[in-house]
Amino acid sequence: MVSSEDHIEKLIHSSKHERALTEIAHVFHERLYWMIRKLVLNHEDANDVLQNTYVRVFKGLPKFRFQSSIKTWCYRIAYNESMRHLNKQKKQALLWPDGTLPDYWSQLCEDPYFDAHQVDAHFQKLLGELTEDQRIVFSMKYYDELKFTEIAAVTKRNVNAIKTTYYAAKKALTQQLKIAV
Amino acid sequence: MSVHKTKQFRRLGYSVPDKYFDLSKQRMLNHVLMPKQKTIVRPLWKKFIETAAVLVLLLATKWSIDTYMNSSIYSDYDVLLVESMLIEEDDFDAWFEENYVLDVL
Repeated sequence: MVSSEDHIEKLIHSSKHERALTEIAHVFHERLYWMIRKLVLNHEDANDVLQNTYVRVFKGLPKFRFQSSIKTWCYRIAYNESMRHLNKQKKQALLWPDGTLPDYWSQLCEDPYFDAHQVDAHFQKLLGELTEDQRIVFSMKYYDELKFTEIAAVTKRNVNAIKTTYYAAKKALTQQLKIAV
Repeated sequence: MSVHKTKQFRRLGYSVPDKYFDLSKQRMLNHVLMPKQKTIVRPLWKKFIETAAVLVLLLATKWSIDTYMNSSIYSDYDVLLVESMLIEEDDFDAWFEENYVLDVL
């Protein structure tokens, strides 16, 4: 049986880019959204970033060289778009009166599509205490179930550095949870 | 995305509008794939020629207006009237005869 990714790659090979994009959306839409959402936090921002991701994927399809899997490639584009969005947000924040972005928890609570009552609030607050790097790697590994090699390819970093960051994040979270218990 | 994972996100407080994934997928695909209306871009040289033609027309209009104004307003008679203000009363008759009676008439 042909997997979804193989099917997409065949479509790209035969230059059926529109169908390839439709198939990519069919397979990865929800997964890409959640990866972006955990990076940018806010639903509206995640929606915009996902839209831009599709634009870039479609533009990039004719140039896709099959050097990575289509999944890793799409995740990488989504990651880059998210980082671009966050950097833009940080630059805009410099123009605000206090010159900084609200912290992780405040940003989450500002989003109408975040339910602070339903949430395992304590765990989210612990995630907010991790460094940005640790949070990104932890989310990709734990929630998106990406392999270390995939995370390394998406973030363009060394696999060992990713492993170290993940274990540091896991250790910090475990310690915090033990303290809480 | 498994149901389990989606529930995990919900437990972390993240949510999305109703039917978001179905609707947004189609909307985003339409945005990327629908052919956009072509905007006609006129070549730069055509714009340049049009601008030059307008400028020439403006200059020609200005020149013809100036010519008309010079010939109608600043007539010899008007010049004489202005000059007459500078002539002393005693010399006026002689000046008038010389410049108006003899030259103009």
